Amino acid sequence: MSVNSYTVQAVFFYIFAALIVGSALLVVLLRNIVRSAFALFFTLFGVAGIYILLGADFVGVTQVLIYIGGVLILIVFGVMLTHNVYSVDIFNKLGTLVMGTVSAIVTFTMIYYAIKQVPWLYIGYKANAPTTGPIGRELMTSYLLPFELASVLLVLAMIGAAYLIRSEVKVKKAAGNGGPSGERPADGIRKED
Amino acid sequence: MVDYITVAIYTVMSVVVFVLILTTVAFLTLAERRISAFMQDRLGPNRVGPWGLFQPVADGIKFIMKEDITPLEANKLLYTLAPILTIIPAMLTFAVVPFGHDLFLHGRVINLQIANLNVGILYVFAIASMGIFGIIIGGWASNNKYSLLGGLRSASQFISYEISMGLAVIGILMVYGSLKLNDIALYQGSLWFNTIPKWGILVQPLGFIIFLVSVFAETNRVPFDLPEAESELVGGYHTEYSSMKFAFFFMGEYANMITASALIATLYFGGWQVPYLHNIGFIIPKFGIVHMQQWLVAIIEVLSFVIKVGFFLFFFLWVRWTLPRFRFDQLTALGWKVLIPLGILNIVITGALIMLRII
Repeated sequence: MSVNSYTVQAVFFYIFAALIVGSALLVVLLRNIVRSAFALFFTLFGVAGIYILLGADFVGVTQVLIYIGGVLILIVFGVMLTHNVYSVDIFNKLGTLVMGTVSAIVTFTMIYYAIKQVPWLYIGYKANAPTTGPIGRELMTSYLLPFELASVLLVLAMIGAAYLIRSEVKVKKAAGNGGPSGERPADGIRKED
Repeated sequence: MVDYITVAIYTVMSVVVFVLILTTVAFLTLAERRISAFMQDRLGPNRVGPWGLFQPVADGIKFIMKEDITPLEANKLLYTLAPILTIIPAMLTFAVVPFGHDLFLHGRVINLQIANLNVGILYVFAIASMGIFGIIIGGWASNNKYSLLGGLRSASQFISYEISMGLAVIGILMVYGSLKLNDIALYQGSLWFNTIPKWGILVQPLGFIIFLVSVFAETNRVPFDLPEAESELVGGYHTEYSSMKFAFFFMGEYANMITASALIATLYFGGWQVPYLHNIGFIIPKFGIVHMQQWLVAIIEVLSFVIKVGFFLFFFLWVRWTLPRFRFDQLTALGWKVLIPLGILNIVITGALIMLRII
Protein backbone atom coordinates (compact mmCIF):
# COMPACT_ATOMS: atom_id res chain seq x y z
CA MET A 1 0.00 0.00 0.00
CA SER A 2 1.66 3.18 -1.13
CA VAL A 3 0.88 6.81 -0.40
CA ASN A 4 -0.51 6.97 -3.89
CA SER A 5 -3.51 4.71 -3.14
CA TYR A 6 -4.28 6.61 0.06
CA THR A 7 -4.41 9.84 -1.93
CA VAL A 8 -6.83 8.27 -4.39
CA GLN A 9 -8.93 7.05 -1.46
CA ALA A 10 -8.95 10.49 0.14
CA VAL A 11 -10.00 12.13 -3.13
CA PHE A 12 -12.90 9.72 -3.51
CA PHE A 13 -13.87 10.12 0.15
CA TYR A 14 -14.18 13.90 -0.23
CA ILE A 15 -16.11 13.54 -3.50
CA PHE A 16 -18.63 11.23 -1.86
CA ALA A 17 -18.78 13.30 1.33
CA ALA A 18 -19.47 16.47 -0.66
CA LEU A 19 -22.13 14.59 -2.64
CA ILE A 20 -23.83 13.35 0.54
CA VAL A 21 -23.79 16.66 2.40
CA GLY A 22 -24.71 18.75 -0.63
CA SER A 23 -27.61 16.60 -1.75
CA ALA A 24 -28.85 16.13 1.83
CA LEU A 25 -29.01 19.92 2.16
CA LEU A 26 -30.96 20.04 -1.09
CA VAL A 27 -33.40 17.42 0.25
CA VAL A 28 -34.17 19.68 3.19
CA LEU A 29 -34.07 23.05 1.48
CA LEU A 30 -35.79 22.46 -1.87
CA ARG A 31 -39.39 23.59 -2.00
CA ASN A 32 -40.50 21.15 -4.67
CA ILE A 33 -41.09 17.85 -2.89
CA VAL A 34 -40.39 15.72 -5.99
CA ARG A 35 -37.05 17.44 -6.45
CA SER A 36 -36.31 16.73 -2.78
CA ALA A 37 -37.01 13.06 -3.36
CA PHE A 38 -34.77 13.18 -6.39
CA ALA A 39 -31.95 14.80 -4.41
CA LEU A 40 -32.26 11.94 -1.92
CA PHE A 41 -31.14 9.67 -4.77
CA PHE A 42 -27.70 11.28 -4.71
CA THR A 43 -27.49 11.18 -0.91
CA LEU A 44 -28.15 7.44 -0.84
CA PHE A 45 -25.80 6.89 -3.74
CA GLY A 46 -23.02 8.79 -1.94
CA VAL A 47 -23.51 6.71 1.20
CA ALA A 48 -23.16 3.56 -0.92
CA GLY A 49 -19.93 5.00 -2.29
CA ILE A 50 -18.57 5.53 1.23
CA TYR A 51 -19.43 1.92 2.14
CA ILE A 52 -17.56 0.63 -0.89
CA LEU A 53 -14.61 2.88 -0.05
CA LEU A 54 -14.57 1.22 3.40
CA GLY A 55 -14.26 -2.18 1.74
CA ALA A 56 -17.84 -3.14 2.58
CA ASP A 57 -18.86 -3.83 -1.01
CA PHE A 58 -21.80 -6.05 -0.07
CA VAL A 59 -23.29 -3.39 2.21
CA GLY A 60 -22.69 -0.72 -0.43
CA VAL A 61 -24.44 -2.63 -3.18
CA THR A 62 -27.28 -3.60 -0.84
CA GLN A 63 -27.65 0.07 0.04
CA VAL A 64 -28.23 0.91 -3.62
CA LEU A 65 -30.50 -2.09 -4.12
CA ILE A 66 -32.71 -1.54 -1.08
CA TYR A 67 -32.68 2.22 -0.60
CA ILE A 68 -32.57 3.47 -4.20
CA GLY A 69 -34.28 0.50 -5.84
CA GLY A 70 -36.90 0.01 -3.14
CA VAL A 71 -37.43 2.71 -0.55
CA LEU A 72 -36.77 5.71 -2.78
CA ILE A 73 -38.98 4.41 -5.58
CA LEU A 74 -41.79 3.94 -3.06
CA ILE A 75 -41.23 7.48 -1.74
CA VAL A 76 -41.35 8.88 -5.28
CA PHE A 77 -44.49 6.80 -5.91
CA GLY A 78 -46.13 8.24 -2.82
CA VAL A 79 -45.14 11.79 -3.67
CA MET A 80 -46.31 11.53 -7.29
CA LEU A 81 -49.65 9.97 -6.48
CA THR A 82 -50.47 12.34 -3.65
CA HIS A 83 -53.25 14.63 -4.77
CA ASN A 84 -52.37 18.36 -4.99
CA VAL A 85 -48.82 17.85 -3.88
CA TYR A 86 -47.89 21.36 -5.02
CA SER A 87 -50.49 23.21 -3.05
CA VAL A 88 -49.07 21.86 0.21
CA ASP A 89 -46.77 24.42 1.77
CA ILE A 90 -43.78 22.33 2.73
CA PHE A 91 -41.51 25.27 3.43
CA ASN A 92 -40.44 25.08 7.03
CA LYS A 93 -41.78 27.71 9.36
CA LEU A 94 -39.56 29.31 11.97
CA GLY A 95 -40.77 27.03 14.77
CA THR A 96 -40.01 23.84 12.87
CA LEU A 97 -36.68 25.34 11.80
CA VAL A 98 -35.60 25.82 15.42
CA MET A 99 -36.86 22.38 16.42
CA GLY A 100 -35.07 20.84 13.47
CA THR A 101 -31.78 22.55 14.26
CA VAL A 102 -31.95 21.47 17.92
CA SER A 103 -32.74 17.84 17.08
CA ALA A 104 -30.01 17.80 14.41
CA ILE A 105 -27.40 19.09 16.90
CA VAL A 106 -28.53 16.58 19.56
CA THR A 107 -28.40 13.67 17.11
CA PHE A 108 -24.99 14.73 15.82
CA THR A 109 -23.57 14.99 19.35
CA MET A 110 -24.95 11.59 20.31
CA ILE A 111 -23.49 9.89 17.24
CA TYR A 112 -20.19 11.73 17.66
CA TYR A 113 -19.74 10.52 21.24
CA ALA A 114 -20.88 7.02 20.33
CA ILE A 115 -18.21 6.86 17.61
CA LYS A 116 -15.62 8.26 20.02
CA GLN A 117 -16.36 5.67 22.73
CA VAL A 118 -16.32 2.52 20.62
CA PRO A 119 -12.89 0.83 20.65
CA TRP A 120 -12.64 0.32 16.90
CA LEU A 121 -10.92 -2.84 15.84
CA TYR A 122 -8.47 -1.95 13.11
CA ILE A 123 -7.88 -5.00 10.93
CA GLY A 124 -5.90 -3.25 8.24
CA TYR A 125 -6.92 -2.49 4.71
CA LYS A 126 -7.77 -5.54 2.63
CA ALA A 127 -8.68 -4.50 -0.88
CA ASN A 128 -11.17 -6.76 -2.62
CA ALA A 129 -11.48 -9.16 0.31
CA PRO A 130 -14.75 -11.04 -0.17
CA THR A 131 -17.32 -10.00 2.41
CA THR A 132 -20.41 -11.87 1.21
CA GLY A 133 -19.43 -15.25 2.64
CA PRO A 134 -18.52 -14.03 6.16
CA ILE A 135 -21.69 -11.88 6.34
CA GLY A 136 -23.87 -14.84 5.38
CA ARG A 137 -22.14 -17.12 7.90
CA GLU A 138 -22.51 -14.60 10.73
CA LEU A 139 -26.17 -14.00 9.89
CA MET A 140 -26.89 -17.73 10.00
CA THR A 141 -24.92 -18.37 13.22
CA SER A 142 -24.16 -15.55 15.69
CA TYR A 143 -26.91 -13.17 14.59
CA LEU A 144 -29.62 -15.68 13.71
CA LEU A 145 -32.16 -14.28 16.21
CA PRO A 146 -32.05 -10.63 15.01
CA PHE A 147 -32.10 -11.91 11.44
CA GLU A 148 -35.20 -13.99 12.05
CA LEU A 149 -36.85 -11.13 13.96
CA ALA A 150 -36.32 -8.90 10.95
CA SER A 151 -37.97 -11.56 8.76
CA VAL A 152 -40.95 -11.73 11.13
CA LEU A 153 -41.25 -7.95 10.91
CA LEU A 154 -41.28 -8.10 7.12
CA VAL A 155 -43.89 -10.87 7.10
CA LEU A 156 -46.05 -8.77 9.43
CA ALA A 157 -45.71 -5.79 7.10
CA MET A 158 -46.72 -7.94 4.14
CA ILE A 159 -49.75 -9.36 5.95
CA GLY A 160 -50.71 -5.84 6.98
CA ALA A 161 -50.48 -4.59 3.39
CA ALA A 162 -52.55 -7.52 2.12
CA TYR A 163 -55.14 -6.92 4.84
CA LEU A 164 -55.44 -3.23 3.94
CA ILE A 165 -56.10 -4.04 0.29
CA ARG A 166 -58.68 -6.71 1.09
CA SER A 167 -60.69 -4.56 3.51
CA GLU A 168 -60.77 -1.79 0.91
CA VAL A 169 -62.31 -4.22 -1.57
CA LYS A 170 -65.05 -5.12 0.95
CA VAL A 171 -65.87 -1.44 1.49
CA LYS A 172 -66.07 -0.95 -2.25
CA LYS A 173 -68.45 -3.87 -2.62
CA ALA A 174 -70.74 -2.51 0.07
CA ALA A 175 -70.69 1.07 -1.16
CA GLY A 176 -71.10 0.11 -4.80
CA ASN A 177 -69.33 3.17 -6.21
CA GLY A 178 -65.64 3.26 -7.06
CA GLY A 179 -63.03 4.49 -4.65
CA PRO A 180 -60.04 6.60 -5.65
CA SER A 181 -58.73 6.09 -9.16
CA GLY A 182 -55.96 3.78 -10.25
CA GLU A 183 -56.94 0.46 -8.70
CA ARG A 184 -56.63 -2.12 -11.40
CA PRO A 185 -54.87 -4.70 -9.21
CA ALA A 186 -57.69 -4.38 -6.65
CA ASP A 187 -60.19 -5.00 -9.43
CA GLY A 188 -58.35 -8.17 -10.30
CA ILE A 189 -58.62 -9.39 -6.71
CA ARG A 190 -62.32 -8.67 -6.56
CA LYS A 191 -63.03 -10.70 -9.67
CA GLU A 192 -61.49 -13.80 -8.20
CA ASP A 193 -63.15 -13.57 -4.78
CA MET B 1 1.44 0.66 -5.83
CA VAL B 2 -0.90 1.42 -8.64
CA ASP B 3 0.04 -0.76 -11.58
CA TYR B 4 -0.26 1.70 -14.45
CA ILE B 5 -0.13 -0.94 -17.20
CA THR B 6 -3.04 -2.84 -15.65
CA VAL B 7 -5.00 0.38 -15.26
CA ALA B 8 -4.29 1.21 -18.91
CA ILE B 9 -5.35 -2.26 -20.09
CA TYR B 10 -8.67 -2.15 -18.26
CA THR B 11 -9.32 1.44 -19.34
CA VAL B 12 -8.82 0.47 -22.97
CA MET B 13 -11.01 -2.60 -22.41
CA SER B 14 -13.87 -0.56 -20.94
CA VAL B 15 -13.70 1.95 -23.81
CA VAL B 16 -13.78 -0.91 -26.34
CA VAL B 17 -16.73 -2.57 -24.59
CA PHE B 18 -18.56 0.76 -24.39
CA VAL B 19 -18.10 1.43 -28.10
CA LEU B 20 -19.08 -2.14 -28.94
CA ILE B 21 -22.30 -1.86 -26.93
CA LEU B 22 -23.20 1.41 -28.66
CA THR B 23 -22.49 -0.16 -32.06
CA THR B 24 -24.54 -3.22 -31.19
CA VAL B 25 -27.39 -0.96 -30.05
CA ALA B 26 -27.27 0.85 -33.40
CA PHE B 27 -27.33 -2.32 -35.44
CA LEU B 28 -29.90 -3.90 -33.15
CA THR B 29 -32.38 -1.20 -34.16
CA LEU B 30 -31.72 -2.12 -37.78
CA ALA B 31 -31.97 -5.83 -36.99
CA GLU B 32 -35.27 -5.26 -35.24
CA ARG B 33 -36.74 -3.55 -38.27
CA ARG B 34 -35.33 -6.06 -40.74
CA ILE B 35 -36.45 -9.08 -38.71
CA SER B 36 -39.91 -7.67 -38.06
CA ALA B 37 -40.18 -7.01 -41.78
CA PHE B 38 -39.09 -10.57 -42.54
CA MET B 39 -41.68 -11.96 -40.13
CA GLN B 40 -44.41 -9.83 -41.67
CA ASP B 41 -43.36 -10.67 -45.23
CA ARG B 42 -42.02 -7.18 -45.97
CA LEU B 43 -38.57 -5.95 -46.92
CA GLY B 44 -37.80 -3.41 -44.21
CA PRO B 45 -35.25 -0.59 -44.56
CA ASN B 46 -32.87 -1.68 -47.33
CA ARG B 47 -32.08 1.55 -49.18
CA VAL B 48 -29.29 3.15 -47.15
CA GLY B 49 -26.09 1.35 -48.06
CA PRO B 50 -25.80 -2.37 -48.80
CA TRP B 51 -28.72 -4.28 -47.16
CA GLY B 52 -29.62 -1.04 -45.39
CA LEU B 53 -26.52 -1.30 -43.20
CA PHE B 54 -26.10 2.48 -42.94
CA GLN B 55 -29.67 2.96 -41.75
CA PRO B 56 -28.56 3.41 -38.08
CA VAL B 57 -26.26 6.26 -39.20
CA ALA B 58 -29.14 7.93 -41.01
CA ASP B 59 -31.35 7.44 -37.93
CA GLY B 60 -28.69 8.95 -35.71
CA ILE B 61 -28.36 12.04 -37.94
CA LYS B 62 -32.14 12.34 -38.00
CA PHE B 63 -32.29 12.24 -34.17
CA ILE B 64 -29.62 14.93 -33.82
CA MET B 65 -31.25 17.22 -36.41
CA LYS B 66 -34.73 17.00 -34.90
CA GLU B 67 -36.04 19.81 -32.74
CA ASP B 68 -35.60 19.15 -29.05
CA ILE B 69 -38.94 20.04 -27.52
CA THR B 70 -39.46 20.57 -23.80
CA PRO B 71 -43.12 20.91 -22.79
CA LEU B 72 -43.92 24.29 -21.28
CA GLU B 73 -45.31 22.86 -18.05
CA ALA B 74 -42.60 20.21 -17.66
CA ASN B 75 -40.16 20.18 -14.78
CA LYS B 76 -37.16 21.30 -16.88
CA LEU B 77 -34.32 19.98 -14.72
CA LEU B 78 -35.75 16.52 -14.11
CA TYR B 79 -37.03 16.32 -17.68
CA THR B 80 -33.46 16.68 -18.91
CA LEU B 81 -31.89 14.44 -16.29
CA ALA B 82 -34.24 11.48 -16.82
CA PRO B 83 -32.83 10.19 -20.15
CA ILE B 84 -29.29 10.47 -18.78
CA LEU B 85 -30.30 8.51 -15.68
CA THR B 86 -31.74 5.80 -17.90
CA ILE B 87 -28.82 5.28 -20.23
CA ILE B 88 -25.96 5.42 -17.69
CA PRO B 89 -27.10 2.40 -15.62
CA ALA B 90 -27.87 0.52 -18.83
CA MET B 91 -24.24 0.96 -19.84
CA LEU B 92 -22.82 0.35 -16.34
CA THR B 93 -24.33 -3.10 -15.80
CA PHE B 94 -22.20 -4.67 -18.50
CA ALA B 95 -19.05 -3.95 -16.45
CA VAL B 96 -19.32 -7.17 -14.43
CA VAL B 97 -20.23 -9.49 -17.30
CA PRO B 98 -17.30 -11.75 -18.24
CA PHE B 99 -16.91 -12.15 -21.98
CA GLY B 100 -14.00 -14.57 -21.78
CA HIS B 101 -11.85 -16.32 -19.20
CA ASP B 102 -8.19 -15.32 -18.97
CA LEU B 103 -5.78 -14.17 -21.59
CA PHE B 104 -2.07 -14.81 -20.90
CA LEU B 105 -0.08 -12.12 -22.64
CA HIS B 106 3.63 -11.44 -22.03
CA GLY B 107 3.52 -13.05 -18.59
CA ARG B 108 0.47 -11.04 -17.61
CA VAL B 109 -2.96 -12.50 -16.85
CA ILE B 110 -5.77 -10.37 -18.21
CA ASN B 111 -9.32 -11.11 -17.05
CA LEU B 112 -11.60 -10.74 -20.02
CA GLN B 113 -14.06 -8.83 -17.86
CA ILE B 114 -13.98 -5.16 -16.90
CA ALA B 115 -14.53 -5.61 -13.17
CA ASN B 116 -14.57 -8.96 -11.39
CA LEU B 117 -16.53 -7.72 -8.37
CA ASN B 118 -17.09 -9.92 -5.33
CA VAL B 119 -20.75 -8.92 -5.33
CA GLY B 120 -21.08 -9.44 -9.11
CA ILE B 121 -24.70 -10.35 -9.67
CA LEU B 122 -25.92 -8.08 -6.83
CA TYR B 123 -24.21 -5.17 -8.57
CA VAL B 124 -26.27 -5.89 -11.68
CA PHE B 125 -29.49 -5.86 -9.66
CA ALA B 126 -28.52 -2.65 -7.85
CA ILE B 127 -27.57 -0.71 -10.98
CA ALA B 128 -30.61 -2.01 -12.86
CA SER B 129 -32.87 -0.72 -10.09
CA MET B 130 -31.27 2.70 -10.53
CA GLY B 131 -32.21 2.63 -14.20
CA ILE B 132 -35.91 2.41 -13.40
CA PHE B 133 -35.61 5.70 -11.55
CA GLY B 134 -34.92 7.58 -14.80
CA ILE B 135 -38.11 6.20 -16.32
CA ILE B 136 -40.29 7.20 -13.37
CA ILE B 137 -38.75 10.67 -13.14
CA GLY B 138 -39.06 11.15 -16.91
CA GLY B 139 -42.70 10.07 -16.82
CA TRP B 140 -43.46 12.45 -14.01
CA ALA B 141 -41.44 15.44 -15.24
CA SER B 142 -43.17 15.40 -18.67
CA ASN B 143 -46.35 16.56 -16.95
CA ASN B 144 -48.46 14.34 -19.15
CA LYS B 145 -50.92 11.75 -17.87
CA TYR B 146 -49.82 9.10 -20.36
CA SER B 147 -46.20 9.61 -19.40
CA LEU B 148 -47.01 9.44 -15.70
CA LEU B 149 -49.05 6.26 -16.10
CA GLY B 150 -46.29 4.74 -18.21
CA GLY B 151 -43.69 5.58 -15.57
CA LEU B 152 -45.82 4.16 -12.74
CA ARG B 153 -46.57 0.97 -14.66
CA SER B 154 -42.90 0.59 -15.41
CA ALA B 155 -41.96 0.94 -11.75
CA SER B 156 -44.60 -1.45 -10.42
CA GLN B 157 -43.74 -3.98 -13.10
CA PHE B 158 -40.05 -3.67 -12.34
CA ILE B 159 -40.48 -4.07 -8.58
CA SER B 160 -42.68 -7.16 -8.87
CA TYR B 161 -40.53 -8.92 -11.44
CA GLU B 162 -37.28 -8.03 -9.70
CA ILE B 163 -38.39 -10.33 -6.86
CA SER B 164 -38.97 -13.36 -9.08
CA MET B 165 -35.73 -12.62 -10.93
CA GLY B 166 -33.85 -12.54 -7.62
CA LEU B 167 -35.47 -15.79 -6.50
CA ALA B 168 -34.45 -17.47 -9.77
CA VAL B 169 -30.88 -16.27 -9.36
CA ILE B 170 -30.74 -17.61 -5.77
CA GLY B 171 -31.05 -21.10 -7.28
CA ILE B 172 -27.97 -20.42 -9.42
CA LEU B 173 -26.07 -19.03 -6.43
CA MET B 174 -26.89 -22.15 -4.40
CA VAL B 175 -25.59 -24.45 -7.12
CA TYR B 176 -22.40 -22.57 -7.99
CA GLY B 177 -21.76 -20.99 -4.59
CA SER B 178 -20.49 -17.61 -5.77
CA LEU B 179 -21.79 -14.16 -6.55
CA LYS B 180 -18.96 -13.51 -9.01
CA LEU B 181 -20.21 -13.86 -12.55
CA ASN B 182 -16.83 -15.13 -13.70
CA ASP B 183 -16.89 -17.92 -11.09
CA ILE B 184 -20.43 -18.85 -12.13
CA ALA B 185 -19.31 -19.09 -15.76
CA LEU B 186 -16.19 -21.04 -14.76
CA TYR B 187 -18.04 -23.64 -12.65
CA GLN B 188 -20.39 -24.34 -15.53
CA GLY B 189 -17.44 -25.95 -17.27
CA SER B 190 -17.24 -28.74 -14.67
CA LEU B 191 -18.68 -32.03 -15.80
CA TRP B 192 -21.70 -33.96 -14.60
CA PHE B 193 -21.18 -37.73 -14.50
CA ASN B 194 -17.89 -36.91 -16.23
CA THR B 195 -19.67 -36.24 -19.53
CA ILE B 196 -22.24 -33.41 -19.53
CA PRO B 197 -21.12 -29.84 -18.74
CA LYS B 198 -23.04 -28.40 -15.77
CA TRP B 199 -24.66 -25.53 -17.62
CA GLY B 200 -27.26 -23.52 -15.72
CA ILE B 201 -30.08 -24.55 -18.03
CA LEU B 202 -29.45 -28.22 -17.16
CA VAL B 203 -29.19 -27.82 -13.38
CA GLN B 204 -31.80 -25.04 -13.09
CA PRO B 205 -34.43 -25.57 -15.81
CA LEU B 206 -37.28 -24.09 -13.74
CA GLY B 207 -35.09 -21.21 -12.60
CA PHE B 208 -34.20 -20.51 -16.21
CA ILE B 209 -37.85 -20.15 -17.25
CA ILE B 210 -38.57 -17.83 -14.32
CA PHE B 211 -35.47 -15.77 -15.08
CA LEU B 212 -36.27 -15.53 -18.78
CA VAL B 213 -39.84 -14.33 -18.19
CA SER B 214 -38.70 -11.85 -15.52
CA VAL B 215 -35.95 -10.47 -17.75
CA PHE B 216 -38.49 -9.76 -20.49
CA ALA B 217 -40.57 -7.85 -17.95
CA GLU B 218 -37.54 -5.99 -16.60
CA THR B 219 -36.46 -4.79 -20.04
CA ASN B 220 -40.01 -3.63 -20.86
CA ARG B 221 -40.15 -5.79 -23.96
CA VAL B 222 -43.18 -7.44 -25.56
CA PRO B 223 -45.15 -9.30 -24.19
CA PHE B 224 -44.57 -7.09 -21.14
CA ASP B 225 -44.10 -3.69 -22.79
CA LEU B 226 -47.00 -2.12 -20.89
CA PRO B 227 -45.04 1.01 -19.84
CA GLU B 228 -45.02 2.05 -23.51
CA ALA B 229 -48.12 0.27 -24.78
CA GLU B 230 -48.93 2.50 -27.75
CA SER B 231 -52.55 1.41 -28.02
CA GLU B 232 -53.23 2.53 -24.44
CA LEU B 233 -50.62 5.10 -23.48
CA VAL B 234 -49.55 6.78 -26.75
CA GLY B 235 -45.79 6.41 -26.15
CA GLY B 236 -45.76 5.73 -22.42
CA TYR B 237 -43.09 7.42 -20.35
CA HIS B 238 -41.35 8.91 -23.40
CA THR B 239 -44.48 10.40 -25.02
CA GLU B 240 -43.20 13.97 -24.69
CA TYR B 241 -39.59 13.26 -25.52
CA SER B 242 -38.07 14.03 -28.89
CA SER B 243 -34.69 14.26 -30.57
CA MET B 244 -31.67 12.92 -28.67
CA LYS B 245 -33.51 12.74 -25.34
CA PHE B 246 -35.84 10.19 -26.87
CA ALA B 247 -32.86 8.50 -28.49
CA PHE B 248 -31.30 8.06 -25.04
CA PHE B 249 -34.38 6.24 -23.74
CA PHE B 250 -34.41 4.15 -26.88
CA MET B 251 -30.71 3.31 -26.62
CA GLY B 252 -31.15 2.55 -22.92
CA GLU B 253 -33.80 -0.03 -23.74
CA TYR B 254 -31.58 -1.74 -26.30
CA ALA B 255 -28.52 -1.58 -24.05
CA ASN B 256 -30.61 -3.25 -21.34
CA MET B 257 -31.50 -5.96 -23.82
CA ILE B 258 -27.83 -6.58 -24.51
CA THR B 259 -27.04 -6.84 -20.80
CA ALA B 260 -30.04 -9.09 -20.27
CA SER B 261 -28.95 -11.40 -23.10
CA ALA B 262 -25.43 -11.45 -21.68
CA LEU B 263 -26.81 -12.34 -18.23
CA ILE B 264 -28.97 -15.17 -19.59
CA ALA B 265 -25.94 -16.50 -21.46
CA THR B 266 -23.66 -16.17 -18.42
CA LEU B 267 -26.00 -17.62 -15.81
CA TYR B 268 -27.67 -20.39 -17.78
CA PHE B 269 -25.61 -21.12 -20.89
CA GLY B 270 -22.08 -21.18 -19.57
CA GLY B 271 -21.14 -17.63 -20.52
CA TRP B 272 -17.88 -17.87 -22.43
CA GLN B 273 -17.66 -21.65 -21.90
CA VAL B 274 -17.32 -24.00 -24.82
CA PRO B 275 -17.97 -27.59 -23.69
CA TYR B 276 -14.72 -29.43 -22.84
CA LEU B 277 -12.57 -26.40 -23.75
CA HIS B 278 -9.92 -25.52 -21.15
CA ASN B 279 -6.89 -23.27 -21.13
CA ILE B 280 -4.70 -25.90 -22.79
CA GLY B 281 -7.23 -27.04 -25.38
CA PHE B 282 -10.09 -29.51 -25.59
CA ILE B 283 -10.11 -32.15 -22.83
CA ILE B 284 -12.65 -34.78 -23.78
CA PRO B 285 -13.20 -37.59 -21.24
CA LYS B 286 -12.35 -41.11 -22.51
CA PHE B 287 -11.01 -39.59 -25.71
CA GLY B 288 -7.99 -37.47 -25.02
CA ILE B 289 -6.63 -33.96 -25.23
CA VAL B 290 -6.47 -31.69 -28.26
CA HIS B 291 -3.79 -29.11 -27.47
CA MET B 292 -4.29 -25.50 -28.53
CA GLN B 293 -2.53 -22.16 -28.14
CA GLN B 294 -3.86 -20.16 -25.20
CA TRP B 295 -4.67 -17.07 -27.29
CA LEU B 296 -6.68 -19.26 -29.68
CA VAL B 297 -8.64 -20.64 -26.72
CA ALA B 298 -9.34 -17.09 -25.51
CA ILE B 299 -10.60 -16.05 -28.96
CA ILE B 300 -12.85 -19.12 -29.21
CA GLU B 301 -14.27 -18.35 -25.75
CA VAL B 302 -15.03 -14.73 -26.62
CA LEU B 303 -16.63 -15.89 -29.89
CA SER B 304 -18.74 -18.41 -28.01
CA PHE B 305 -19.95 -15.64 -25.69
CA VAL B 306 -20.74 -13.33 -28.61
CA ILE B 307 -22.70 -16.07 -30.43
CA LYS B 308 -24.74 -16.87 -27.30
CA VAL B 309 -25.54 -13.19 -26.68
CA GLY B 310 -26.38 -12.76 -30.35
CA PHE B 311 -28.79 -15.66 -30.20
CA PHE B 312 -30.63 -14.22 -27.19
CA LEU B 313 -30.79 -10.79 -28.81
CA PHE B 314 -32.43 -12.47 -31.78
CA PHE B 315 -34.72 -14.30 -29.32
CA PHE B 316 -35.82 -10.95 -27.87
CA LEU B 317 -36.76 -9.71 -31.36
CA TRP B 318 -38.35 -13.03 -32.26
CA VAL B 319 -40.63 -12.91 -29.22
CA ARG B 320 -41.50 -9.27 -29.81
CA TRP B 321 -42.86 -9.93 -33.29
CA THR B 322 -44.59 -13.18 -32.34
CA LEU B 323 -46.51 -12.64 -29.11
CA PRO B 324 -49.33 -10.21 -28.26
CA ARG B 325 -49.18 -7.94 -25.20
CA PHE B 326 -50.42 -8.94 -21.75
CA ARG B 327 -53.14 -7.01 -19.99
CA PHE B 328 -51.88 -5.16 -16.91
CA ASP B 329 -53.77 -7.26 -14.35
CA GLN B 330 -52.62 -10.44 -16.12
CA LEU B 331 -49.06 -9.18 -15.90
CA THR B 332 -49.28 -8.45 -12.17
CA ALA B 333 -51.04 -11.75 -11.50
CA LEU B 334 -48.39 -13.67 -13.42
CA GLY B 335 -45.62 -11.97 -11.48
CA TRP B 336 -47.03 -12.32 -7.99
CA LYS B 337 -49.16 -15.46 -8.17
CA VAL B 338 -47.16 -17.65 -10.53
CA LEU B 339 -43.53 -16.64 -10.80
CA ILE B 340 -42.82 -15.84 -7.13
CA PRO B 341 -44.31 -19.13 -5.79
CA LEU B 342 -42.46 -21.00 -8.54
CA GLY B 343 -39.26 -19.21 -7.57
CA ILE B 344 -39.64 -20.31 -3.94
CA LEU B 345 -40.44 -23.86 -5.10
CA ASN B 346 -37.29 -23.78 -7.23
CA ILE B 347 -35.19 -22.82 -4.20
CA VAL B 348 -36.67 -25.69 -2.15
CA ILE B 349 -36.09 -28.21 -4.95
CA THR B 350 -32.55 -26.94 -5.52
CA GLY B 351 -31.81 -27.23 -1.79
CA ALA B 352 -33.10 -30.81 -1.72
CA LEU B 353 -31.07 -31.76 -4.80
CA ILE B 354 -27.92 -30.24 -3.32
CA MET B 355 -28.49 -32.17 -0.07
CA LEU B 356 -28.91 -35.38 -2.10
CA ARG B 357 -25.68 -34.45 -3.92
CA ILE B 358 -27.33 -34.73 -7.33
CA ILE B 359 -26.23 -31.26 -8.45
